Amino acid sequence: MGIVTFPVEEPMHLAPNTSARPRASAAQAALSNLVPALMGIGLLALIGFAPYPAVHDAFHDVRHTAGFPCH
Amino acid sequence: MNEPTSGGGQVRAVIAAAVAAGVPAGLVYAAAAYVIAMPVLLEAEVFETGVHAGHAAHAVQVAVTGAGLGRLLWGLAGAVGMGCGLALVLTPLVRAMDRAKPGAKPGWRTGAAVGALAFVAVFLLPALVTLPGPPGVEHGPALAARQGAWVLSLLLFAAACGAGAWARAVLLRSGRGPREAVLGAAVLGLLVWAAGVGLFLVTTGFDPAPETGYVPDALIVRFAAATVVCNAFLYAALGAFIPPALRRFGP
Repeated sequence: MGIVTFPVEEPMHLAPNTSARPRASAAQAALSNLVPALMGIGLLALIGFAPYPAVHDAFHDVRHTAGFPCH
Repeated sequence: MNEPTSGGGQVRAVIAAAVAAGVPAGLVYAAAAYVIAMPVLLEAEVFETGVHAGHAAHAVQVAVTGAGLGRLLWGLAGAVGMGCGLALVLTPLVRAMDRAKPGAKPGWRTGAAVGALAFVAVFLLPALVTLPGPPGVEHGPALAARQGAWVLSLLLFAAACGAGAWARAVLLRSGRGPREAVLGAAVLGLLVWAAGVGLFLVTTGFDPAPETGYVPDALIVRFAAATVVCNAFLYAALGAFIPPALRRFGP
């Protein structure tokens, strides 16, 4: 009677990633940090510094509370 | 965290994480501002009517925001906008710091460190240069000059961080311990910031002291204390909310 062997399946977390999806490049990662940061700076500049009277008046209380020079 | 392969997918994921953290942080800020800062601000506005009598912009403010619900909603929108704006800047920072550690997920320590750093850089140090006051406080320098000083403080903070990082690397290479290196980095960073601000004040004659005019000094001090507490809430909330938002929505 011969020895019966069963194929041993490699655990999922050790299996090499054979999917065709390429990993994001470093440039894409940098861009994905830069774009939101620039959007945030723009939003903060609008709330804190925009000189238009309507914007100033709308965000007047927030400007004072956040420490932005207001008037 | 998923790993979207396209640049656009990553940008959307970071923005989603930032908004998911920024909106609740903004709501926390709005609540703190409404309870802590608004009573002092309204008290000071009594004196503002004296300062800005005949000021066209103030008349517009009354027309746009008015009092009561309208003003509350604009304040809420501004606070949520502040939360989202800051989160859009800080979320990539948390992500970049955690990517430096292979296999690490955004943790509360990184969030707390970035929140504390932002509180110092965006609120505390600029406030030392431009001395924010409640409505009704008149300042000597023009608004544009004070806004420029605010931005300068932020740029000097970035320069101080760079100098501190350089000092830390040099001290570590010379065989010093990590604590000594961090202390040296902090001292050099502080010196760079203080020297830059000092140079600015001396060369431009910028006088940060408010010309109080109508507003009592005690009210100015109370408002300053109120802003410190409100902003501490905002940056603590951002530090607490960004890491879980990145784990849930981030790339």
